[in-house]
Amino acid sequence: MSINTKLRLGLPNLGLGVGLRNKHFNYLLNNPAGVDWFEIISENFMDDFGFASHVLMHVRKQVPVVMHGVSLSVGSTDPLNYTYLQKLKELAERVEPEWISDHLCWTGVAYTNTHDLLPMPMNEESLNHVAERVLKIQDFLKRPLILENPSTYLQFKVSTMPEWEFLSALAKETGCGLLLDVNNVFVSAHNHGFDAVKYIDSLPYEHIVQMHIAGPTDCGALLVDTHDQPVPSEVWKLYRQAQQLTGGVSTLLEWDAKIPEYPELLEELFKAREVLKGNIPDTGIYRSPNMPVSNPVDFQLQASNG
Amino acid sequence: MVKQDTVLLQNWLRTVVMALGFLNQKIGLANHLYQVHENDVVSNEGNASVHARLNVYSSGYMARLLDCMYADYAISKKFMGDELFDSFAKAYLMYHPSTSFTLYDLGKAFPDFLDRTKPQPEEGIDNNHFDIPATLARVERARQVAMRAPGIENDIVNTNQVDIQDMLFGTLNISVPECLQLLELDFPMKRFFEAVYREEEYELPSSQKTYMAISRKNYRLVLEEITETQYLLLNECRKHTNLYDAISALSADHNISSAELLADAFLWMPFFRKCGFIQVIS
Ligand SMILES: [Fe+2]
Repeated sequence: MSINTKLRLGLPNLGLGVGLRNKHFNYLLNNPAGVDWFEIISENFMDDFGFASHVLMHVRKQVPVVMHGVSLSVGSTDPLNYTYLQKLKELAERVEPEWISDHLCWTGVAYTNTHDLLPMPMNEESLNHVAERVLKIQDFLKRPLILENPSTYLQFKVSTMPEWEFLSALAKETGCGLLLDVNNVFVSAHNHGFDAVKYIDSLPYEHIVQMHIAGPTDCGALLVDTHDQPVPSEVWKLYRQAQQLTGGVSTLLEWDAKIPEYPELLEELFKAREVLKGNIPDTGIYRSPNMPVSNPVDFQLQASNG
Repeated sequence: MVKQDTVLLQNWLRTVVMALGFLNQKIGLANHLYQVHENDVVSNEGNASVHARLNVYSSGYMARLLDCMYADYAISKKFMGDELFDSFAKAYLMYHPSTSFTLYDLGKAFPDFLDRTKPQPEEGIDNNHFDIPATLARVERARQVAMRAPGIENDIVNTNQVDIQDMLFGTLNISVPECLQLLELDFPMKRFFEAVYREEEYELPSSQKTYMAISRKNYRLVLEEITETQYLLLNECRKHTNLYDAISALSADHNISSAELLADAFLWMPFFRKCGFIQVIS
């Protein structure tokens, strides 16, 4: 693949978007989308021919859609799952997304799936492993893969490079795009004691195609990526820095548990406009004495029975 | 010291996340299997201890998937109560780790698991109430499948009344939507299911062979109790494109008079079509 050095790999800046969630399906059938674009969890729509797909195609007629996966497991040492990739490709033919993204992580090994985004060791060996798989995936999907930095809670002792260096090398070697989750940078920086500003500054900005913003939970020694809170001031600041660096890329507010009503969700999203003008909302980080669930996934299952 | 390559590290962490037991036991097992020590694997810089870091992944795993079981089996959970449901769901997740990329497969085998693990009634006591949770879960699972499978929403539906001549002369073409789920059950479940769903008062159903059809029409689930012959006919219709052929095959297989079946089917067709169990093709 020829290495693309255009801004955002030449992909469009879609503006401000939110995740398409079951909770808002009825609202979205009766009201305009109100956002520039939607992100879907790819796995939710594979093999779905019911109401969820109906709502997806309804919003798809109004605004662009991006496919964001959680089971690609690009870092796994299991063989690539071509059944999964085929389903991903078929879904892309149906949805015609602007791009397809997933995470720099592994979700399982030995043919099991933890449905979590597990951390990679960061060294030459793992970099080569991931790069080889990214190239194969891009070859199969016939488009660049966009990879997100996950929130992490541990680092392996064998790691020899920081995550930003790993992602930069991966992007340059494979031509893949980056989905910069500034909340995840904030969470991981806190958990591992690195400098979030430096992390963002060090990325090859022309590879950054999209950003995620979200609110974490402070559990004492560790910050946990819970996607269930408003975006705190510190994350907004990183967002502003990254937007300045990249010249503006598609932005998505993630909210996957304790999901607010749609108008309230958009209110939080549209704070991004003010942030770009330098008005940072004064929002603290939610503290919880209990260990919450990182990376909640139950929102993916439709509540036909709730 | 063993070489900590990515394969080893992933298998080690997978064990810490997915093995049975408390965190210490899980870490102990992973260390033993892969001949490492957690302090040699996980970096211990920063405020949190190595165990606190591993705990986010380890406790998160069960809690996350348990939340999925709640979403998938909300009605079973209402019936069983939180504590009992949790203990079965946790045991299920431990013995059926996910091997699929989709969470929709996670709870697939839960009804069978409930069936296999139900308490055995004491001898001489006729207590088949222990069979109810598995039956309820089976209905709940069928609803989930019916919700996502291909339906008839995007088809141009023929709503003309069925002409008996078409049936008799074998010119009535039909199709059964993939979303139709046919269940053979040991209890009458419709009223009971709906009462639990709506959190109304209910009596436990008594054991009785019943049949149920679940389908989807205009993105709404339809759940009806049907007779044995209706069940057999709908099953047979899946194998044929013509109603007359389905009736003839059923008549031959089960030794039922085809004239009687034709007359019954003629009466049943409006009900089947209204419920989205069957479609007439123009
Ligand atoms: Fe994210």
